[in-house]
Amino acid sequence: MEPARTETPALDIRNLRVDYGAFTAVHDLSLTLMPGEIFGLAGPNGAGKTSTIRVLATLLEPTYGEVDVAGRDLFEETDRAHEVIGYMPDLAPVIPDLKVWEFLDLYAHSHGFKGGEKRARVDACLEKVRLTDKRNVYGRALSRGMTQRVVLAKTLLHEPKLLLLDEPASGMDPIARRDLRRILEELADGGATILISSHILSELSDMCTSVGIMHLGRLLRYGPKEQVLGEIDEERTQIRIEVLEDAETVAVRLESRDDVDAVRVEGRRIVVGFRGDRAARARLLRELLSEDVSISAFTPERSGIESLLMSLIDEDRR
Amino acid sequence: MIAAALHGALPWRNPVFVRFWRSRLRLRRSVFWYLLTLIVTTFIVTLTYIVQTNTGTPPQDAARSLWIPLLIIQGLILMFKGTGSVAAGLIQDKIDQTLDYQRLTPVAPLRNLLGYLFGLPVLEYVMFALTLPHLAFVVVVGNVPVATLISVYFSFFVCVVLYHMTGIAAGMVMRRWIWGYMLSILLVLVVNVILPTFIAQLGLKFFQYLSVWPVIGQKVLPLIVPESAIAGVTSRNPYFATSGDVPFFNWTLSPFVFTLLLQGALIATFGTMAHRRWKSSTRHSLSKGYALGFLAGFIVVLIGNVWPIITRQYMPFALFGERNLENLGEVVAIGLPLVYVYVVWLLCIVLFSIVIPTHHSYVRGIRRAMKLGRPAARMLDDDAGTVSFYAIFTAVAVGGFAVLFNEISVAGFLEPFGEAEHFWRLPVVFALVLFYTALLLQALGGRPTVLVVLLLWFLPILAAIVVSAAQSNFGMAQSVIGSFSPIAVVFASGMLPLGAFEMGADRELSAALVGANVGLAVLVVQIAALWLHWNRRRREYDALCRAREESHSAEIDEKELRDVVEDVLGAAPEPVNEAARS
Repeated sequence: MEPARTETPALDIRNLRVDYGAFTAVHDLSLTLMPGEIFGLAGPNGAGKTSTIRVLATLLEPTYGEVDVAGRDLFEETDRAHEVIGYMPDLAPVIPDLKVWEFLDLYAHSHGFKGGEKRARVDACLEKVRLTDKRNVYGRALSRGMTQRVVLAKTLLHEPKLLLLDEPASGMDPIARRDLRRILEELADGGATILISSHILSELSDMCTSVGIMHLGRLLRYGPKEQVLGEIDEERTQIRIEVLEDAETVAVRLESRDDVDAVRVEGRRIVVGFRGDRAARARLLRELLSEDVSISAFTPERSGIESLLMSLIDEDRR
Repeated sequence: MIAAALHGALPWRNPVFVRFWRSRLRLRRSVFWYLLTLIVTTFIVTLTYIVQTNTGTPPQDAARSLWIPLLIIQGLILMFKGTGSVAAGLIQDKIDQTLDYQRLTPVAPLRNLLGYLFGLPVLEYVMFALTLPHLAFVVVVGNVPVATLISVYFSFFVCVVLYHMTGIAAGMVMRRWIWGYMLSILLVLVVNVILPTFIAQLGLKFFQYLSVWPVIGQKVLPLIVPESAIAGVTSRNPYFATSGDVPFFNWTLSPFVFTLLLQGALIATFGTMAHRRWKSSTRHSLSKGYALGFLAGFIVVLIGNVWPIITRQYMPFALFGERNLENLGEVVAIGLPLVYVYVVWLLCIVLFSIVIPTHHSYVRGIRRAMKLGRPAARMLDDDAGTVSFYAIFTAVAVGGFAVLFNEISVAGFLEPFGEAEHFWRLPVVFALVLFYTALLLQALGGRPTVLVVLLLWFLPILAAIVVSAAQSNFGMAQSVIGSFSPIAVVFASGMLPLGAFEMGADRELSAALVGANVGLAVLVVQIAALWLHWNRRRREYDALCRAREESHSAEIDEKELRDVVEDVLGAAPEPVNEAARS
């Protein structure tokens, strides 16, 4: 999905920095997102994703930096920004002693909906996350995945133009994840901008139109997902090889190759980190067969943005 | 516009209030409290009324005498249970992060605050409402004037709001609900029970006006006690000792008005704290400027209350148990300045711990200043660790002392001490101790300061007490050991003029003098050490920030990163941290 471009970015972050004493969580981050964009912020734990999102949600004061949301200064016009921002925190809770509909009613009311309109919004959002049948269940009785869905419904109540989702899919089952992707796509189609963070990177590659990779507070790389993943596909893949004989011996042979940077043995299966294009992969298969290795399966896997993340982090550490 | 504002102020228009109305008033959970309130209140009211009428008390008087027990029950419900509920509920919301959800709604902070203030204790308000039939009985049978009823309950609810605001402030600052719950209830207990019976004797009469007792004394007491017996009751019962007019410099105010003014100022302060923390959880609860203003206001009220005494006009209340102005010489000359120093010091410790930045936020302040091209954070910024500000704070506190002491001197309270030469010590030690406290918090931070307080403030005193107990008298050793504590140095400096006056240059006085001198020297050495330590830390932080800034500039050198990306991806280099999109 190509994001619709307009003159005013939905989110414009300039030189954002967050310090916790001597530790710098976010290091002069600059990022621009356009309306309709679903941006995935990936990175390992401690990369600075949550700090970034909490600053954007106005819950954390940055050391310095400027943020514009739809052309308005986030820190000067905070109340107006709250009208267009939807925030879903990591491990989002619900209020345990409220029923699901009461929880949503509270925030619909807080966002200025009244009477029939309020009820309609609550019902629509419950329907969106497929929890209509749970409307009278208390918050404390919800499972982890259901809690996530209820909080997502709460986040969608006021139809935010900028959604900040911190690890939203954690705890969700596959169906709920598919629903989440559908909802996000619908919102993006309607012009909303979504910033979604996760360290489960496969989630992001499913949902996002663009991806950024963060490590130690720095945004190492960002761009459209297709471009980033396309580059990785050509460069580094993970190959699953299943052999009939001793996998350890084959693994030793593979490790000695220059184009192999990681080898893991799982029973008769060898998982290989391979650097090279399709022709190189074909050459590897041919060479293994010529060495009389009995191969029952040879499966190149698109390793997704995990691969890029690991590569960039490795480089960054060096 | 006014109609719209009123419309928005209705409780059921406030989403936060509606939330608590729903969650806290579910019949299954609240029915116990309703029944408990009804049973206990009905039992006490009925029993007291029957016993009184059976012993010949007229029904009107018997009904009126029920009012104070009823007020105590209502106070227990709203002031104790309600305040605890506010603090614990807010902390729980903070822990659950649901407070963050509410922060992110476009509801104005004040409206949110009102929602929490009246929503969290909604169960207690309903319990209070269940005592209203009993109150109606008191009013109707006791023929209580409506004006009295209104003024008592107006003051009662202002007091309730003040305590609940304390709970909100505690909830915004503290991290564990049990501590917030206990602290806020303890505070209510201290204000209502401990202050009237103990602290008020030290001339800190205004603390009593933080409770509802003065208004009860002024409005309820005349209804239930014969006029001839009121003086006796107020002199015997410390809770009602404040029922007369309140001295404030050369004016007198009614307890009702003074209570409202004092409690209103505190509600505004707690409201400011809650509002600041609502806007940003990383902000200090009070700004430096507000803290300075609060200190100045506190000093004005403190001096204003004892003004008739220190200017030798009249005795509005007993001071250290003494009611005769002519017998007050040393109590005013020695006791009041010492009380002033300890109380203001205690307040300064609280205010310093609020406004002095942690080292983390100090470093953040340097970075922010560097980014904005300033040499350092501005003096009144939360992140500024400005020593000159602590000097201003100290100057205000010592300035108040100067006014107090000058009046004491002009009124002739110092005359019996003749040419006593030690009066200079207390203000000097006071100034040093305040500056030392600020430096201690700034240079070492919170936790190490607690250790220092334990080891250097209290341990020497305890050691001196043990040595005294072993030697059965006060000598040089105890004096020198104790002098390592600033608390003891203040006491010794304040008491020396009295010692010199009463004892002359005997052995005990010389021991106290040596102790005071050693203590002064220790204080100066500690200040110098802390000053050097803080300056070294400051330079280190500054260098660290600059070094990191430079290394970071190198780190984000675009070419280098482009090389990394190119090397890893084998792709055309793209600018990083700029518009790195194709």
